[in-house]
Amino acid sequence: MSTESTEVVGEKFRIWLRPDGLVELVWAPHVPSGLQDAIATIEAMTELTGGRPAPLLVHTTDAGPQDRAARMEFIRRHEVVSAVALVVGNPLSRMMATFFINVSRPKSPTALFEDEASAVAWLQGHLV
Amino acid sequence: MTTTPAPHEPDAVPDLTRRLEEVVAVIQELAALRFGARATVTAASDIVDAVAAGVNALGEELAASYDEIEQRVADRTAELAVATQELRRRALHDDLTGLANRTAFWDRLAHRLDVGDGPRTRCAVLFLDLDDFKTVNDTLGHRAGDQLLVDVARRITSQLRAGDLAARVGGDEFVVLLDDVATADAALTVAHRISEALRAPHELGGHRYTAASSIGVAVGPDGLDTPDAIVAAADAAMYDAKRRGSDACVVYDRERHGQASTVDVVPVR
Repeated sequence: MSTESTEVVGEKFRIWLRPDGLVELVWAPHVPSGLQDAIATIEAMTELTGGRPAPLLVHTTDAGPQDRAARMEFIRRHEVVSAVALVVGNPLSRMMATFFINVSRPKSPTALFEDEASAVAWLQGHLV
Repeated sequence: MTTTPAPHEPDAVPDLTRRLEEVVAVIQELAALRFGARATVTAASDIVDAVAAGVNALGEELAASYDEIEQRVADRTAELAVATQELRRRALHDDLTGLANRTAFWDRLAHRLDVGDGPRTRCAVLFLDLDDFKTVNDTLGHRAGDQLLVDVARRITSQLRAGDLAARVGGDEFVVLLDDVATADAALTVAHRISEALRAPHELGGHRYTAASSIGVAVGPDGLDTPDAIVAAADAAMYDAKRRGSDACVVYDRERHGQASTVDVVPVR
């Protein structure tokens, strides 16, 4: 994992802190992710925000499937985010995002968006 | 992840069929509670991948729910076992002293008389009643009375061997099964030992109290081959001991005490 002050690149993801205070996450294309990836992502986000909850923008369109352990870890560590916007773009990402919201039931405000602009606008209302 | 032909390509329909068949196979596996089954999710991220990933995710949730239910069942079963054990303990023990209760004593005595090997192995029952126990309750209070009963139970038990059994069967009434005694005199010796142990002063809420007792002794199975008969005999001998004065131990004698066949036991309060 390489680190800069505002960006962390992991084995399966890239995450960075934007000037507007949002954190943006992109998963490596078509790679399944599990618990260790979730832990690494949360650690990276904590490193970027200093542990303060921040709005998180996640690009899921090209992401691979994510297993239950990973989903549960994101829910368990909900304190690192103030809100999560899941940007989807194909049937798979739409299904995974819907499943996460409706079945896994995250504790932080979480919403699905078809376009990035709407997601950013919504997240800006969750800046802490 | 694997790749899949684009919808317009010639292999698209057979490939779609193959992928859906795989998803169906995974659903069948999950229906058979084989939760490890997973459908392939391709890089196409198309609607079949959405179905496959959805089935996989549902399979994971199903497995988690199943594990949770199994854990709950295991937890409840363990709790039930503890509760059952406690109920059994309460059903067979006297709450105050922790000694066996009447039910447990009668069961054990019946078993002892059933498996007895004729006159070569005898057992004895001691019936013990505290003298003037009511005075303790009336003058020192029920708490002191309870403390005395607990003390008495402990001292009786301290005089017994591993195979013997003591029980509290009434307010201040105790019975003891001596599992293996050679003669009535041997049983009487144990009775005297218990009587002496009880005479040592008891500390009851700042008061010293010396407890006296009357003990009847009956040896079986000679003519006393049921629990009721042998306990009734010991009870009759105990009443004889009471008549003789404080702190007496008397062995049952049919000629003197008559045919003892039943015994009335005052329920433990």
